[in-house]
Amino acid sequence: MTAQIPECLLYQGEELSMCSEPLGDYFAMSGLEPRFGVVCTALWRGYTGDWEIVDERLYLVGLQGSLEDGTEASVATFFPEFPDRVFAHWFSGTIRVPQGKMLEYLHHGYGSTYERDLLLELDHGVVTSTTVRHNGTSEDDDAPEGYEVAAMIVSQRSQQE
Amino acid sequence: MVYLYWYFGIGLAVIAMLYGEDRLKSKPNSNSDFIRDILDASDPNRTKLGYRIRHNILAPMLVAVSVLLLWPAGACLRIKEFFSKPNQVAAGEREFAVARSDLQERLSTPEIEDREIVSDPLYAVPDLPFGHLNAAWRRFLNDLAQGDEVWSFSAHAQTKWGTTEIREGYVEVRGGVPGVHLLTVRKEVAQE
Repeated sequence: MTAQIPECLLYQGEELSMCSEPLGDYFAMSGLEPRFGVVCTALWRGYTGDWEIVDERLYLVGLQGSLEDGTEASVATFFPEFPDRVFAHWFSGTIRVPQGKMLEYLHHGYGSTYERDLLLELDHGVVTSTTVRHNGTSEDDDAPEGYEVAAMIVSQRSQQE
Repeated sequence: MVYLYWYFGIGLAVIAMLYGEDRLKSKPNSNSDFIRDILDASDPNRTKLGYRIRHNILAPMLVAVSVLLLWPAGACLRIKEFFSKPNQVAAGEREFAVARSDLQERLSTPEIEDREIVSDPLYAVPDLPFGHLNAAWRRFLNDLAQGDEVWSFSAHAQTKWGTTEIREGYVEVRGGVPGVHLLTVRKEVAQE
C-alpha cells in the first residue's frame, strides 16, 4: 500500500499531520460503511478529515471527499444535524502526529519514521495524556521536514477537467 | 500472419473495451477539487508541460502498447479473479464475533442508556444515549427478540493488518449464545 495522505489536526494553534483515522472507527461502529470514490493510491480511504482539539476534546470540523456515485461528501453528509463540529466521542486510542525531519521513508501506510512522534492518548474522544516519542536525530541537512508522501498513482478519472 | 492480425485485432478490441469502461464509470463530479489540491500541493510539477506530456500522453500510450502485446495475461487474471471471488475472505479477516468468555455483565436497557449518555460543552453531540452512535443503538434494540439478554463485553480481536485491538460494547445473548453486537470501544493494543 502506498504511503497515505494524512488527516489534518489543528492543535494548540498549529496545523499538524495526523496519522490516525478516527472516522474509520465511526463508520465501523455505526455500520454506515460509506463507499468513497478512490482516485489515488495515496488515499485509499477516499476522504480527508479536518480535526481540532479544543479543551482536550477531539472534534471533526471538516471533511473532503467524493462518494462512489460522484456526490461530494462533507461533515453534513454523515452528521446532518452537526455540519460544523462533531465531538468524536466514539474514538479511543492513540493519535500519532509525526514531527521533525524524516529519518526513514517507508512507502506503506503511515510507516515512515520521523525524529519525533507526538502521541495523544484519547478515551472516548477526550485527551487523557500527551507524550513525545524521540526516534532519533537526522544527520541529513536536506532531509524533508514534516510528513510527506513521495509517490502515488492517480486514476485518470480524477484528472479529467 | 493471419493469426498475428487476429492477435492484434483482439488487443485493439480489449483497448477499446477498457477505454469505454473507463468512460462509462467516470462521474462528472468525481474529479473533486480536494484531490487536485492535495496532489498539486504534494507535487508542484504536476502543472508543468513535461509532466502533462508524460502522464497524459506517454503513459496512456505505453499502457495501450502493453495491452496490445500482453492482453492474454490480463484476460487470464480477469478470469482467475472472477472465479476466486467466493474465496476472497482472508484467514486473518474473519468477521469479529463475541465469545461467551468475553461477556462481562448483564444489563437492562435503562441501565445501559444511563451509562452511555454523552455530553459536550460545545454541544457537538446529540443529547441521546450513545451520542452520534444512537441510530446504531436503536437498530440494535430493534433486533432484540423476546427473552434476549443484553450483556456488556470486552474482547481482543485480530485486525486484517495483524494488529490486536481491544473491542468493547454490548451484545445480544439469545439462549446463552452471544449474537449481534454494538461496538463502543475499538482501540489498538500498543506493540513494542
